[in-house]
Amino acid sequence: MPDTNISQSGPEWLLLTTSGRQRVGKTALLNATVQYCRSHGGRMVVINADQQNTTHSLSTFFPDARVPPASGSLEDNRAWIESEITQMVQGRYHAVLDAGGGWTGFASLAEDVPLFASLEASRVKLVGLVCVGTEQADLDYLSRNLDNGTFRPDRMVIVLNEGLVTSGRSAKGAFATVVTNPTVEAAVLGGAKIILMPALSCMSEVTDRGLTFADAAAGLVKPGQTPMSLFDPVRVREWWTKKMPAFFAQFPAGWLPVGDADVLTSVAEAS
Amino acid sequence: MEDLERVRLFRKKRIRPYRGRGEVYSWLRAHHDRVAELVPTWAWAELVQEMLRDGMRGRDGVTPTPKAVTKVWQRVQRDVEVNASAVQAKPTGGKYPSRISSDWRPEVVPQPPPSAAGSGSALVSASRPAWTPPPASVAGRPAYPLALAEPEIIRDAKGVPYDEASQAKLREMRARLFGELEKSDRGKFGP
Repeated sequence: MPDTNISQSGPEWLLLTTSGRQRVGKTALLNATVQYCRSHGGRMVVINADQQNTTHSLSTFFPDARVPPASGSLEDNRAWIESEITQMVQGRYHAVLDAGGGWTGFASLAEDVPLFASLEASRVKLVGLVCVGTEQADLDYLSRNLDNGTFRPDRMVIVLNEGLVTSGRSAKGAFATVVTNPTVEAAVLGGAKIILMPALSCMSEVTDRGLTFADAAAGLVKPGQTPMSLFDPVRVREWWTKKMPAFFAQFPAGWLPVGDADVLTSVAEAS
Repeated sequence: MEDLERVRLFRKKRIRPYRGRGEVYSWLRAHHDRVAELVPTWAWAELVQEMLRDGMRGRDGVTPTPKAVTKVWQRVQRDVEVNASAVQAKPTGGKYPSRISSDWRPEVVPQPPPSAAGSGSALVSASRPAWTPPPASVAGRPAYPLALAEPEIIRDAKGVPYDEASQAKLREMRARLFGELEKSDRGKFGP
């Protein structure tokens, strides 16, 4: 039921979130997405509900990220996410949600309520970023979620994470079964986009230091940290200034919160 | 006494050892044809008695059970079959160089007359006829039919082919992604 207090005209608000097995690069993808969008004028709230990831969690890179109460159960996590989404709808701002991998509070919520329909009615567009690696288990996870409707937003991007291709193996060979998988093809015919996210070979050098990609590309480190190698900043620069913009350019217009002149409420007010 | 009077079912044979195999295997392999003949009508227990009469013992000197011998027999049958196939596939004939006369010389193929166009190498393969051009073309098109490879039919999870528009969309998606992946591989491994 749409909230009558919310105008049914005007801009949409985007809720970006991820789906996928654990350790397929969901947080890395959201990290890059937030940094990219913010560097292009996008404004959004970062909601970090991933309680299993500490060193590389979104909170490491975005101190303004909202986090749930510590030591919460799955049900607590779910209730907290629900409240954050409610605030987002009423506060009218974009958000990026890292729900973590596996069975999460968000997955529990999505299974319990017609989440996507509820969000649509409130003018919130869910953009689902489905991270997939090279393993059959990654596809099994995707198939399950699509078949049972747990995660089947209208705006879905299947992201092939090239960073998961093992050293020495060809990317084409590694992803051949994914690209030709019937579930993936059915999703594409249903409107999903499928995009290859380029690998950054020194990703851990950046994320272990908690650096932004722009800082790493400039060769900067935080006080007390060991400097990066001579060539890693060059690699980051190539990836951040050429490859990743080409990756994000493949997103359809309106699927990323960039250049937000139309957000009605200040993101700061929502904090 | 009864055993002594019993007629031997198996002629005494030289048992050849096989690497990695025990006495039972070797015995069954040596008497393969006779065992194969008797198995349909004789009980394994009887055959085991014959083996024991020949002095065969199982692993560690323990008398093999009929069931154990059956399993070894299956392995023997498989190995004999594989061996027979290998023997059959082995090329026969041909002469070793040491058996060829020292006076033998290869047959010389006469050189073909020079071609009217005056182009191409004078060397011609001795085993293949000279290439003849295809029939004259009409209106610039070759006279022989061109057969293009049929594009792969893309099917859904149930094996049902997609309609033409969906097939085209999926082929475009595959071409785009495989192109990107190949480009990435070239960057890593070279052309």
